[in-house]
Amino acid sequence: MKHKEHLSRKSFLIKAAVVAGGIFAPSFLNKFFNNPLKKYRNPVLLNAAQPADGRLVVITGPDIKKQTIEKMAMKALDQFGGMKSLIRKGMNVVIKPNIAWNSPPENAANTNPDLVEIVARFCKEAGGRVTIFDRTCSSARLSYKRSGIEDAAKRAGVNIEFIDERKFINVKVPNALNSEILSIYKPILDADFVINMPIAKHHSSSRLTISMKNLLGVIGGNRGSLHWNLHENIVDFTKAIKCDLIICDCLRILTNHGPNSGTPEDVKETRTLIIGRNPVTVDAYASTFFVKSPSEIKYLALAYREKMGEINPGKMNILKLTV
Amino acid sequence: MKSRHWAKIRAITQLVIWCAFIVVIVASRDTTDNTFFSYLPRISPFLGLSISLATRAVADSFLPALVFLVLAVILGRFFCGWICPLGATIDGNDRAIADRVKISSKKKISIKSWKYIVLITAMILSIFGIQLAGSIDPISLSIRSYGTVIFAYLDSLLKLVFNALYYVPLLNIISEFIYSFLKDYLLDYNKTQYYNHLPVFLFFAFILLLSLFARRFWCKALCPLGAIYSLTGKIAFLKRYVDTGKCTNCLACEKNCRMDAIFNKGTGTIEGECIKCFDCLKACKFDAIKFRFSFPYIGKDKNILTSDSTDPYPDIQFTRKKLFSSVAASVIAVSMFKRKPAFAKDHSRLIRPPGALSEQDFINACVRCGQCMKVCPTNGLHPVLFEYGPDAVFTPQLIPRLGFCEKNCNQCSAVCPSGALQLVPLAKKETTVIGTAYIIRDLCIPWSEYTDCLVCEEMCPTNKKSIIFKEESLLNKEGRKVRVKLPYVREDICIGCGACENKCPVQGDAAIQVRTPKKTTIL
Repeated sequence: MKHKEHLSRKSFLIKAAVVAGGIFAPSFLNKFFNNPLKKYRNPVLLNAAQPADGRLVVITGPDIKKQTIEKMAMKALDQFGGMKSLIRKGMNVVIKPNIAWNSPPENAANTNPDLVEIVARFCKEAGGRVTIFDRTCSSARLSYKRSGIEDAAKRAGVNIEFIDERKFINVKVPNALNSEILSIYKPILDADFVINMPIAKHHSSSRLTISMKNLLGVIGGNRGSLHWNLHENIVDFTKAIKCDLIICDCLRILTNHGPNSGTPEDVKETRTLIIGRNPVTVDAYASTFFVKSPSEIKYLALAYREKMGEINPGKMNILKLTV
Repeated sequence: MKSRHWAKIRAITQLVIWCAFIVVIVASRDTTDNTFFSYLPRISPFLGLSISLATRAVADSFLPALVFLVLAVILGRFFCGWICPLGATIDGNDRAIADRVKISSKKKISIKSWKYIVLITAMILSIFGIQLAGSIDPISLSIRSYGTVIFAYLDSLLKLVFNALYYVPLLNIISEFIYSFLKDYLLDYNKTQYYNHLPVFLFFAFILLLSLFARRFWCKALCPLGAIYSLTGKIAFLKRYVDTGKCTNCLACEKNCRMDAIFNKGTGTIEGECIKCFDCLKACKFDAIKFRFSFPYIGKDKNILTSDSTDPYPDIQFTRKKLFSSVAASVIAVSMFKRKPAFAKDHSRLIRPPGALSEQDFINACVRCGQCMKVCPTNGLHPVLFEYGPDAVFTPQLIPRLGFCEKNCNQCSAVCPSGALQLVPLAKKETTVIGTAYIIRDLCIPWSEYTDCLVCEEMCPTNKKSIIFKEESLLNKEGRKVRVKLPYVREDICIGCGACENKCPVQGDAAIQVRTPKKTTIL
């Protein structure tokens, strides 16, 4: 056997440096590019949004077939001048339905897929570039599939995407009650037009989850710890994220065992859509399906105290329609 | 067809089948229907045999293995050279690494009998309920290593690279385009990383590094499936013939043989070792080698060596002495494995996937292929190592803190090849109990700090909620009266899916943990 070549000190040092560099380079690069401190250094300060007008359109239909929902949505949106006047060509439209749970549509844990499809199609016809997303609680892939919303989006021909953890940015919430800094999904802040499409559901800790609580689906960070002082946090989400239109799915509402483990027994068919611009007013009106007075819900009472919207149904500007 | 083309055809076939194997593994990222995946380990007769021995019942789900066994009687040990994904990996590795490291060309014939010891030891251990087979079967081993480890490493490497590129202006336009393509067709939907991944990888790497001693060292010396095929190879119909009139004893074939199956200056063949790779056909410049079918019981066998060489037939027979030593080895192993070491944890935190048989039956029937871990949509199933005794190695466990058992999902039981996980219909998933959640009140926010939290209750997916809360007035630490919603678990309907443990916002160990039921039974 040939004698091994002598390894000189110089070549040993070079080789060692290359190996060490190779080992440490990825972690160094990762630190350099993903510096977690960088995110916290300058949280973006949001403009304090003026409360939107509290006008509501409440429309009730005879059933919840797809054609009926389409007629209901069309007629209600006409009261706002139609989708074509709200969305201009080339606008970046974000639809934020509730797709949080791996649960079929009949259990009313997620927004009605037919409604999502219809609204997405209206937006697309008006010339908007539509994106749909939600930060799910169950497995994202299964929730998107099982809720029927992935297929609905494909039928409407719009873009549906999973949440990308890199796109959360830290923002400073003006006049926050509890969370001064929130991590929010950037695409919803950048969007030209945001449509919040919740489903009205019973919820154990916040009592109800409608449009304000639905915004939890675009908040990043530790979802669980946002449940400490949840009511104050819900008000903060509403302050941080401006929604241009709220289409609340009250076609079927979940009256018990919410938000995720209701069965068809817990589902009540109310065949109603509530459309408005002010999340507090929409939630307050929708809550009348569940409770006697909206002020029983702590986050609505807090929002009213913060002058974010009217919660007394008697004082609201409501247009009731039927199909 | 020219005879020297056969080597190329074999190499291409091997590559195509290996690629198909990878495609199947990548395709199992689909989290809604993966039943096709369950057929992959069923082609191994070794697994079928040891499962049958361990469960004392004919493992009829392993019928596809019989097809390969019949083919092996006709074609010899072709499986190793044409189909086996581990064989393909070892061949590729030999080409890349081992051939460059000059290894001694001295043939080691004696190592060839080791694999029979492995086979017999594994069989005896199976009878005693220690399933070593799944850990060392080449099919199971390749699925486990590629599916859980290699793929997860590739996944995290790509994510690291693209996440770094994401923050580089201009370049990220291209990189994000590629990344979205990869996310659509290759990467898993959730992050994949496996607890205990390193030992799985090291075992795989060890097998590849064995090639430093000799080409295809694993196949020659250790592979138990290879041992079965080498037994059938001895009576196979397809045989190698050498025309001694043309052969010049140049040893080109003998040097090229990756299995060291040629002896007697190129004219003799150890039939059980020849994997029909046809490299010798390619190497022979004198066209002296032919592969022909001969039917030993019909007519006369034409394979008569006319060479005057005096080389004896290489001694790889499995002698009585070796049989005894392997039996002795297995007996020692049984006594070692069955005695649980003192550090082995009790099973209170060992949550098996839904549909699992009772613990001992599960260990007997599980083939350790890791397919359940690969398809789990929440990345909640992870391989066990030696924590629960040596006989549970590489079996799946649910670690709820890392990923919970998803409500409308039965993929782990749908892909199980051996019935260790019985298929759970989606309608019955709601009532399939795998454990029970217990609240650790000192960690729990409402119980210890008297403020509302209720994330576990919100997440609980069972119908009618198996976590309930009672609103109570309590004196907090400052002595003020507060109203708190205190969570309780309804043990009668909790199924132990672990959604609560997974989402519990307490740092580190969750304040609600899934265990097997806390009360011990009489038996």
